[in-house]
Amino acid sequence: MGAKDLNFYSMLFAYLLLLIPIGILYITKVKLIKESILSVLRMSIQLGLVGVYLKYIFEWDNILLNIAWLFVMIIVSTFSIINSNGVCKRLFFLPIVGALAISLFFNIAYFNFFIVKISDIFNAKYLIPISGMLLGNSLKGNIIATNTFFDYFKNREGEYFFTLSLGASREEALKPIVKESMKRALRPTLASIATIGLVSLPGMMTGQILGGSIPMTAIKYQIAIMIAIFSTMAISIFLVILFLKRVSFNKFDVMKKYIFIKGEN
Amino acid sequence: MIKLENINLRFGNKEIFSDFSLTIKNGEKILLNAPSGKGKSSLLKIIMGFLKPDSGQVIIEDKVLSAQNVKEIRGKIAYLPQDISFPKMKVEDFIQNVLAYESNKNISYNRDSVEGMLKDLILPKDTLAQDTSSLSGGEKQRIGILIMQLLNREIFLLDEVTSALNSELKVFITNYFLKMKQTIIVVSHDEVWQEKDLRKVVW
Repeated sequence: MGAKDLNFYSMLFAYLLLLIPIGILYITKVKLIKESILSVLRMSIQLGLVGVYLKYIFEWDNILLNIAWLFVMIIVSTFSIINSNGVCKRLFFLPIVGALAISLFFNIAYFNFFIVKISDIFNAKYLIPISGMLLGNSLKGNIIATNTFFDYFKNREGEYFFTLSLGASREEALKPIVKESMKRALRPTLASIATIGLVSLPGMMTGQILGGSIPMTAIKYQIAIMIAIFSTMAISIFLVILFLKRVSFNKFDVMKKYIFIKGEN
Repeated sequence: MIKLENINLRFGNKEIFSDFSLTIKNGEKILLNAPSGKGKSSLLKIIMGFLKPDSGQVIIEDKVLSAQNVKEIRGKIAYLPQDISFPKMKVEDFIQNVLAYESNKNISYNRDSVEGMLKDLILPKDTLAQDTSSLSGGEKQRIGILIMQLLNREIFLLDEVTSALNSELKVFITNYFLKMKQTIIVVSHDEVWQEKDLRKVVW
């Protein structure tokens, strides 16, 4: 049993719905019309390509290919984190890839093995979509955490220097900054976990119900995935910040100056 | 003794220091006197190892400042920047947090002596129970001075410490520092320092 397929006319009607927000943007003279059309176009092309790709990846179900796909997702996420901070790619690429990979592989293996209880934990049908959810949701948190961390050094480096001058070690001086970064990153997810069911029925659950699952099964999956998302997010943020702390400072405990210089990217 | 030897520093195309040298004896009080943008604050950061000059060296008590001894050297210096800021908590908790740092573990917290120091700095006793976020700029500066005194620092680097104070306090704080035994290096645009009898380094 699966969800009812959407034919050509269904999709046409879906795109027609776009005329209403575009109409509103036109009337209110909000200059977002071009951006709206481009965004929807981009999404359609990306998802179209992924659709084709996933069709084959599910058919072939080759472990190496599946893992390679996870690395593609990890690398895209890494660039997205680096670009959102405008920091040096050369310095941060490997640490962030490493942090995301460790947290993703641990959580997806745990989820598939202990929760879904499938023997083949690299089965494409489970591995790819669930990893996508874990990584996609952690990405937001990692962007907030790293932005908080680097913004502190862009705007309040003097405070850090003062703490060092009070006798704090680098680790001691960074502790409040790390705490603040983690708190800011995790809070929105905790808030959304707390309102799930009341405000929104999450995508995974909706998808499963449309796909024919009974609501109770969909709900159990949703609970498990939310906890796994929170775990992936917490582990990845913890590791990303841990690795950033290692590579961002010189031997004088000062943040390396070329981190923020554009030419060094 | 603090020795700066042949310091060279450029920010992009702008030359800040060219073969700048300076020797400061123990206990000496000096005022760095140069127009804005000429690197006065940068010089303090160079002494602290927060800013690496393009070339030249900093020697403190016969030791060349390096990655190996930077922590030890910072442990001798009180660095009070102009926009001093504390994490949000009770003043007393903050002081105790500072004393809990690994390198300050040998200094114990004695409330009576801290209250005595508050008095010396014309701060009321109940400042300790106040939240750091409710302190004025001048109060923050004086709490900073108090903590550095608790930490027994031998050299004080003062970056515009009097700028947030009213004229009465400016006079009080300058006199407070000038009476101290420690070495004092001041960066300030305040007239009150200019009028005092201390060595002025001009560039």
